[in-house]
Amino acid sequence: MIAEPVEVLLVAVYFVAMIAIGVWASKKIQSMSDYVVAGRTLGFWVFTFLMIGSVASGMSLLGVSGLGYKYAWPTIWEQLAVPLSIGVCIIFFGVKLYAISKNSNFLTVQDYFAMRYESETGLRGLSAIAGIAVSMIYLAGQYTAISIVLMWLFGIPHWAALLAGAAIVTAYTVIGGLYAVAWTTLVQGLILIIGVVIMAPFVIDAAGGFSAVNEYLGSIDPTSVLPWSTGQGAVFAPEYIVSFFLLLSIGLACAPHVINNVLAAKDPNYFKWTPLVAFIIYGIVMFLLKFSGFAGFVLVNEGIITLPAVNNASDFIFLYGVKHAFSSLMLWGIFAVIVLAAVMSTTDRLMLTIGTYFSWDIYKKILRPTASDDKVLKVSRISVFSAAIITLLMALNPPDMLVWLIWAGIGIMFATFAVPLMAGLYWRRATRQGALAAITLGLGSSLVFGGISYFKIASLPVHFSLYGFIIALASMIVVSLLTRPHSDEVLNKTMTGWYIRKVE
Amino acid sequence: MYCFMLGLPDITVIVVGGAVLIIFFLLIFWALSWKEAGV
Repeated sequence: MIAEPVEVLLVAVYFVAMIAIGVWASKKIQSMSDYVVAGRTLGFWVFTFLMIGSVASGMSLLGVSGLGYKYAWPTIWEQLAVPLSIGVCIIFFGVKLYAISKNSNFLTVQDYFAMRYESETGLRGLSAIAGIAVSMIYLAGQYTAISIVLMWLFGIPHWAALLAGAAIVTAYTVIGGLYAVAWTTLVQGLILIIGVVIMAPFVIDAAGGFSAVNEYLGSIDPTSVLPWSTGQGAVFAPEYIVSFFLLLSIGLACAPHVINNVLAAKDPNYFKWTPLVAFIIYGIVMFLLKFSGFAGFVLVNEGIITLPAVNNASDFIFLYGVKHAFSSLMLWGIFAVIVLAAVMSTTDRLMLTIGTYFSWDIYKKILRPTASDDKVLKVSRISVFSAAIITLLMALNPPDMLVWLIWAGIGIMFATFAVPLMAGLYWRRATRQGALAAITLGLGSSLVFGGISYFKIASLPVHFSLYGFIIALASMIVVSLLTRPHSDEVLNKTMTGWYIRKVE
Repeated sequence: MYCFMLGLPDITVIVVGGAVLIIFFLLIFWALSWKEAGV
C-alpha cells in the first residue's frame, strides 16, 4: 500500500518523540554508570516496563500472530513462557546479581563472571564476545520486523525500510544510553499494550469472534485446537514444546539484554511484584496477539484477506488483519506506530548491550584499563553505531519466518549463558575452566545444531538449542569436578550457594 | 467433549487454563513470601 500523509505524519511524530526522549536523557549522562545502568535509578514502573519491553520484541506483534496463523493452538505455550521469563530472570538470577552488584559496583553480567570465576580477561572476554554475537543474531530478527512494518506501510523496499528504522533507534540509543532506552520503552510499552488491547478484539471479531474462530480451526483440522500437535511430522509435539518452553523462559531470562536490566533498578523490593505484574500485563497482550493470528487464518482461508507474495508472508498476518478490521487511515497510522514501538523497545536495548559489552568489558576491562570514563563512553557510542551497521547487513536477507530467526537468537543465548550463570550463582563447585568449557561448547554446539536444523540436514525432535544446553551443562559438571574449586572467600563474596536470598 | 463457550476441546481448556493458574499462583506465592530485610 502507499501511505497517506496522515500516516506519514503519525510515524514522524512518533520518531520525533523518541529522539526527544533521547535528547532529554542525554543530559542526565555524566558517567559510564549513567549510560549503562541509568545510574541505578529506575523506579518501579520504568523498571517493570523496561523488562517487558526488552522481551516484547518484533516477535510480539508479527511473529506471535504469524506463528498462531500457521500452527494454531499448539503454539500457545509461547504466550506463557515469554511473559514468565521476566519472573525467571528476576527470581533466579536478578535478586542475587543485584545484591552482589550493590556490594561490588557491577555494570554488566560479565563483571559478575569475572569476579565469580576469577577470570578478569579470559571468561570476561569470551562471554562478552558471545553476548555480542547472540545479540546481533537476535537484532537481525528485530530489524527484519521493523522493515516488515515500514515496507507494508510506505511501500518502500526492504533495504530502505531497514535503514529508516535503524537510523532512529541508533540515534536515540547512542545519545541517551539506558535512560533513553528505559523511558522510550515505557512510552513504547504503553503504546503497545493500549494498542493491542483495543485493536486485537476487532480483528478477532472480524473473523466471527473467539468461539467461532476456534470452531472453524477445529473443523478444518481437529488437531489444531489441541494443546500440542500429534501425528507424523507434527511440529509442536509434546517433547518439542518442553524444549520450546525452556528455551523461551530460561533463554530469555539469561539473555544479555534482559538480565542486565536488573542492575538498573533503584530498589530491590521491586523484585517482589514485578514478576507477577509483568506476567499479567505481557501475558494479556501476547494472548490477544496469538488469537488475532488464529482469526487471521479464518480471514485468509475464507478469501477475505490475501497475504502478500513474500516468503515470510505469515509475519504479515496481524498487519493485514488490522487493515481489514479498520477502514480508517488514521487508525492504520496509529497501528504502525504500535508495531514500531514493540520492535524498537527490544532493538534499542540490544544495541546498548552490544555497545556496553564492547566498550566496558572488552575495551575498558581488557584492552585499555587506564581509559577515562569519557573515552569509554565514546567507544560505547561508536560500538552501538557499528553494531547497527553490521546487523543491517545481516538483516538484508531474512529467513522465511521472522520467528525462526528470533528463536535461534534466544536459543543460542540459552545454550551459551544459562549454564555458567546458574552454576555460578548456585553451585559452589563450579570453576572457571568449567564455565569456559560451558560457554565455548554451548555456543559452538548450538550453532552446529542450529545449522543442522536450518539447512534441514536432519530433523530434530526438540529445538536445537536444547542440545547445546545439555552439552554446556555436561561440560560444566565434568570440567568443574576435574579442576580446583574457587576459594571460600570468593564464593562467599559472590553469594554462591543453594539459596536465592538470605534474609537476616 | 467441547467446551461450549470457547469452541475448544476440554483438554485444551484444562491444560492451558491450568498452566496459567499454576504460574499465577507461583508468582503470587513468590511475592507474598518476600521479606523486607535481606538483599
